[in-house]
Amino acid sequence: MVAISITLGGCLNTFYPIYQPEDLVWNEKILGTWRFEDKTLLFTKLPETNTLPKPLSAFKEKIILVREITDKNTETSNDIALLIKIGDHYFLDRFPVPNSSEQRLSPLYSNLFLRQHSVYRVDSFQTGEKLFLQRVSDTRLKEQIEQKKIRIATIEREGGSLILASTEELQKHILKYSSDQGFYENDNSHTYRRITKK
Amino acid sequence: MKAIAFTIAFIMLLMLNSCLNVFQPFITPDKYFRDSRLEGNWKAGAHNINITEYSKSPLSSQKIMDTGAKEKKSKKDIQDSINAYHKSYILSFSDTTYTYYFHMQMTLKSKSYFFQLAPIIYTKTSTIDTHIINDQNVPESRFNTFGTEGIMSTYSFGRLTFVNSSQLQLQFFDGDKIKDLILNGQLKTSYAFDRLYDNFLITADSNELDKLIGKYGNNDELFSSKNNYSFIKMN
Repeated sequence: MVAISITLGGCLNTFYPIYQPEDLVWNEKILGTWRFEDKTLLFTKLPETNTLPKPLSAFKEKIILVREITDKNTETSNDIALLIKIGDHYFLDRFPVPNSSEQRLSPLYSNLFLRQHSVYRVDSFQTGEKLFLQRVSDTRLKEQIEQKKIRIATIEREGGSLILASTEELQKHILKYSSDQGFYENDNSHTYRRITKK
Repeated sequence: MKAIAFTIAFIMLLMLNSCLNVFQPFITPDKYFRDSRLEGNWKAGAHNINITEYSKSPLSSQKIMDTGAKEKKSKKDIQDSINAYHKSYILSFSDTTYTYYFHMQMTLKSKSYFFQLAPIIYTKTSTIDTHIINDQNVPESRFNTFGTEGIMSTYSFGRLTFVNSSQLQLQFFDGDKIKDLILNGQLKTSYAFDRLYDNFLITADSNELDKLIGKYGNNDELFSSKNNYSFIKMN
């Protein structure tokens, strides 16, 4: 039985990115092939291209292509990602782009999906041997909104909501809670080991 | 490397979206309009299209209902929601590789019919003429609604015309044109726009959308010449 439902995940997805171009950092040690159990993550530089929207093209040398591949050779995600330092922590802002099989979908179908930014804490890559990735949770943000401690635009529809917090609001939130373990998804936290360099 | 270059070439293509992306539905259950002329098998160019009531569709046996897990709903609300599903249609179309399923609702407003579509799921196209959905033919993809990794379905709207008993025309609103009008302040509605990624979404609620369609729904200049489909009845 295929379960088809719009589930409410606990991961932080946002309409706006968590960075302004001036917030971006670069560390080549994040590039390469990384492995955790049956998952392989490929971090590569974005090839030379003119097809990005103009504002993104301005810093294309800092854009990383992140591809996640399982042992069954299924590409489960394909994102463009940017590395940012907020406070004491590094984060990756990942934005989905279609993988090779998704590119064959009818645009009438795929264009009706909204793509959102997902946020990960990233660490250990500076050593060049390990890559720690942990997904940021939306729990703290939603608690704050529900308790009316912050005023952030969200829109709701049956079965789902969309966070419309601005980049500035997101950064303030991250800065405030990034050292709090409850800010992250505990079951979405993995340490990958390096297989190859770039 | 070739695959990567191919991927990048498509990034921009995905952003050149000529359909509207709207978060909320414009046609709410109280405005659903049913018409038996809509149902059946159609052909548009090389595509085979089927429109059927939700309850007769292959999706009706699946757990397609929105869980609404965080919402406190009364039994009546849940029943209303189920009834609404059963008053809506499923539009599917196939190419040689995939079959795509959409929720479709229709309404009658100012003597014109309007539709809304939201993507649900895609399957591998079957070589036999049956629509079965199972684990074997549903690709693992974020572009299936239940894959929620940063991907969320939206609604798109358009005008529907019963040309005659065997021809139907679906004209989508031109998303690019409407986006330009909104950004230029010539069309007022709620929206979100991430300039960095050129990500645009209409965030107006259903009432606001209803007024918008009432005002602009018969303005031919706002419809896409590209996303204009003529369906020919096959049975």
